[in-house]
Amino acid sequence: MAAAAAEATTDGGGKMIILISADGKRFEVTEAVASQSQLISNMIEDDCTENGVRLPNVDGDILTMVVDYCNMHAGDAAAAGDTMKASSTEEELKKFDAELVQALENPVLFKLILAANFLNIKSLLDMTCQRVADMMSGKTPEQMRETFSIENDFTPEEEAAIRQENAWAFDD
Amino acid sequence: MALPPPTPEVMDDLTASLAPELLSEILLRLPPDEPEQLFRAALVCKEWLRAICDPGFLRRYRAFHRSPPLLGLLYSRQVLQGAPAPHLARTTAVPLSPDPTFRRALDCRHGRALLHASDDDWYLIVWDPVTGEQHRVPEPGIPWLIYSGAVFCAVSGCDHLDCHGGPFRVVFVATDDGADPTPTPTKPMDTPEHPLRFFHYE
Repeated sequence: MAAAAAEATTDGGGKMIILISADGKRFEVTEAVASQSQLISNMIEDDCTENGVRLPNVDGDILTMVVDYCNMHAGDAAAAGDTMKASSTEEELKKFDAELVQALENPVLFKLILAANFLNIKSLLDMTCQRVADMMSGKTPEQMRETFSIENDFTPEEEAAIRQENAWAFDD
Repeated sequence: MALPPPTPEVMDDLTASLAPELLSEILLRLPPDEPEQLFRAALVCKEWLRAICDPGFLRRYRAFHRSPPLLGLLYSRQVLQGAPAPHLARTTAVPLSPDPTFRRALDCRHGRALLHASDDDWYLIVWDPVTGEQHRVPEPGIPWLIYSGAVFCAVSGCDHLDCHGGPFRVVFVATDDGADPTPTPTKPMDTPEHPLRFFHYE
């Protein structure tokens, strides 16, 4: 049962907890890994993770990425001072982070932002928001609309007025 | 068994998929040293325009990036004869107000440049390159040999991330002509041995 699994401990002594995605997928992680989420960290403090943590607005495929991210980054937080345990070097982490967000389709990237925000994982929210900001870089308003499927709701007159007022910014 | 609640629909459309506060989180990360990026993003749709023009967003943007962007460099080349006019080299596409004519740039701080200029007489100019505001400040009226100056925002409690148009102070420090020209850093006030002059204007 979930409760029994949730109380199991690893060899390292870290208590395990179960995360349950919207579509019912279960992920068993150590408390150290899960507490990178401020939301779950608060739940652990309040002692309410025994029956598993249901995350009704995070899909299984997104939670897989979040758990991978947290596993990879658990070294920084959990094993401070214990270099043997710090499983990943800084360079490996950077490479992993870059690869994680690089190839994502927009809806998946947005879902990852929503999950990072809901779970309150600041570093993941930083990284995913920065990725979207980088995608805007060097683009004209038209190109940004195209990249992010946004409808232009300015009238031609409104758009012309803004362009004229700030012509320097639109001088391609 | 009850079905889990449906996950919110997430599509290609960034504005429709993300709540306004998350849109702001993203826009916050546009680079300040390319100011045109914010202007371009503001023209994507009305919601982005609203997000970027919100005074709260602009405050957060300044705090997030901590230091204001570099908009240009004031420089003048050293030549032996016939000094060339000092010049402002712009480092971004932002239009700045026309440079006042000056001899030497003394300081640049809190959004203002302090320039030493002369026509019939020597005087100081406090210039805000973004707003174009210029104030002519008279020299303290002492014969100077070696001198420098500084300009500061004078608003108490200001975070100095966007201090245009408010009160400012100017400090002018000089050694008297003919006296020992080396001021001692440990005695920054006027002393008989090192007649360092210290003035400030408000």
